[in-house]
Amino acid sequence: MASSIENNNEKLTLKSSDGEEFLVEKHVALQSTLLQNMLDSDCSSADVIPLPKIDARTLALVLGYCKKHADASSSKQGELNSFDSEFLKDMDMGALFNLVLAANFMEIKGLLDIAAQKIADTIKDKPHQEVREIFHVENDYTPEEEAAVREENRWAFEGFP
Amino acid sequence: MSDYLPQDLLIDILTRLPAESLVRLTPVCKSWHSLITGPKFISRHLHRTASNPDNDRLLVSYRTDEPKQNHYSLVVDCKDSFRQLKTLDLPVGAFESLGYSVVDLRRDGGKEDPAEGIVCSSVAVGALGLLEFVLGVASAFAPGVSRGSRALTTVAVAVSSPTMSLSRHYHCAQSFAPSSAEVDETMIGN
Repeated sequence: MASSIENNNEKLTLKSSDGEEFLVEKHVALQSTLLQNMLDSDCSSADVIPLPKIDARTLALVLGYCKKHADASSSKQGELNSFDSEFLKDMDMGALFNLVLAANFMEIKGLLDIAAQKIADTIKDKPHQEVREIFHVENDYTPEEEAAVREENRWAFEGFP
Repeated sequence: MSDYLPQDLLIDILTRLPAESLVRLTPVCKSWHSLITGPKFISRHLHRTASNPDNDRLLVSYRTDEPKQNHYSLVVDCKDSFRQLKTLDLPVGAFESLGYSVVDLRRDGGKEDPAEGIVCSSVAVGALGLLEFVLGVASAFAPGVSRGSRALTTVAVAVSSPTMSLSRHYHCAQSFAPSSAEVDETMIGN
């Protein structure tokens, strides 16, 4: 009896790249396929699980998402949808990229999906110069080459710098 | 290429963009250009956009404005309008040889149609190789053109990416074509 209660309340400790520890209920952690696999293989018992690629700020966000979705699994989808859009609403691009990377690493499909979609929605109407900066891409075109690529599809650049 | 994001995540994000945005992002850098216009990306983008009816598509069409003069065009279906990307001069029958059927909507008299002949759109999702021709698109493309009322000879293949050449496009079409039709790319290359 005592052990089954213990099992239900089992918690994990996750450690972010910057050394902060997060105590997480098991049912919340199960939102992550990575953690689920670790729990299934029983390699994590009571130990601290290090997440060396995810900083504390991002991990806190990820776990907030997981908790909402774990607790709300039987509630209405509409409520989760509005939580999701509110969750990402004022997030800057840096935070979104961190979130995508974390969701990808921890295999949280729903979170990966909404964060990637949010990035896509944000860059959809931005000029390519701005997208280049957002993605930290180095421009390897000469000005002439770049102009030629633009010229090929002039219609797409109407109203764009 | 950016080392900011792994390639698979970059692709995940970019395949969510409408075709017009992708066209606009080809000048970001050379690797983005080759990624966006590459066959694998096109195929992934197609699969994603095909499952979302709200997304735009690229169409390839060929028309007969005058007898014996055929053109193929890459066209972006932006839902409320169509944008022509490029006109390609191709041999008659290039698409038929790929196994696509041609819809003949020639008006009585077969006169040249100034409204141009973009009629078709849309791929039958889930039915590999089946192209579903949506004639209603004609009226969207050319206001006043109603179904069956104009002289249009068109074949269209929906593709999903700003492909600048038909050979690139062809790779995509191939993934939708169950037929073993082989096309000599040099024959249809632009």
